[in-house]
Amino acid sequence: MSFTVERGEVTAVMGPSGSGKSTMLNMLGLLDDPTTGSVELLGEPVADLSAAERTDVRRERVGFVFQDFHLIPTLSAVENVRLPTRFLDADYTDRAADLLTRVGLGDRLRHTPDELSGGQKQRVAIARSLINKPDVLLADEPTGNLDRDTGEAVLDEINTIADGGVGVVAVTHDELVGEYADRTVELIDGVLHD
Amino acid sequence: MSGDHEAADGTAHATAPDDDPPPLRLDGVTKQYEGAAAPSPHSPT
Repeated sequence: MSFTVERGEVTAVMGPSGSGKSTMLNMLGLLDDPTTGSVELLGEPVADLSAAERTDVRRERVGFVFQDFHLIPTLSAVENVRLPTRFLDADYTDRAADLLTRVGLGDRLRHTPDELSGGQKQRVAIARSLINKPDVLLADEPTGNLDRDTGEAVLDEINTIADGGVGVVAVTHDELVGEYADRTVELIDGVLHD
Repeated sequence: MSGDHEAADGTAHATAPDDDPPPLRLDGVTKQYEGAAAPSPHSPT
């Protein structure tokens, strides 16, 4: 399989369960190594990076959005968004609040996840994925737990992020994601089809 | 594309020249999980 994430482009990767979507996403996110071939980040192969270096690169360059949001239930929205920066020296509270405002949650900064709707939780997760200004956003079934209207709002948000120069890859079963994507590829038995 | 622009997160990013490498690329990758390809001794043949 060969695949390039382009800046400013949303690519939907569609395919049935077991087709390899999660494996592909894990390799793009530097969470798993290929058996053969190479993964390049900004033109450099990542195979020789240590685990610690990969963690650093992932934190600095890659944002993740998950179907079930992965928010910490005891933390407020703004605390969830700034969580990836907890080991950094700077205080990212203002940036977290700004990102939440940009995704329409400026009046929900102190709300915990159980006080938010599904769409609001996903927008918190999207804001969190942007806290470190990633080059790439990887989304695993980003609309999987959302109704159509809420899914469309989230996809609008993802397109806005791509317009800012971020390369977005969304693996999904949801045809709606394909409608919003710049490019759709299908993954069947580990093989990509344009 | 060239020059600066307002990113989605509100920060100004310098837009990369067109000949810059893409942020991520998979080049001829395969993934074989250990044992996944081997049929179970109890599998039908």
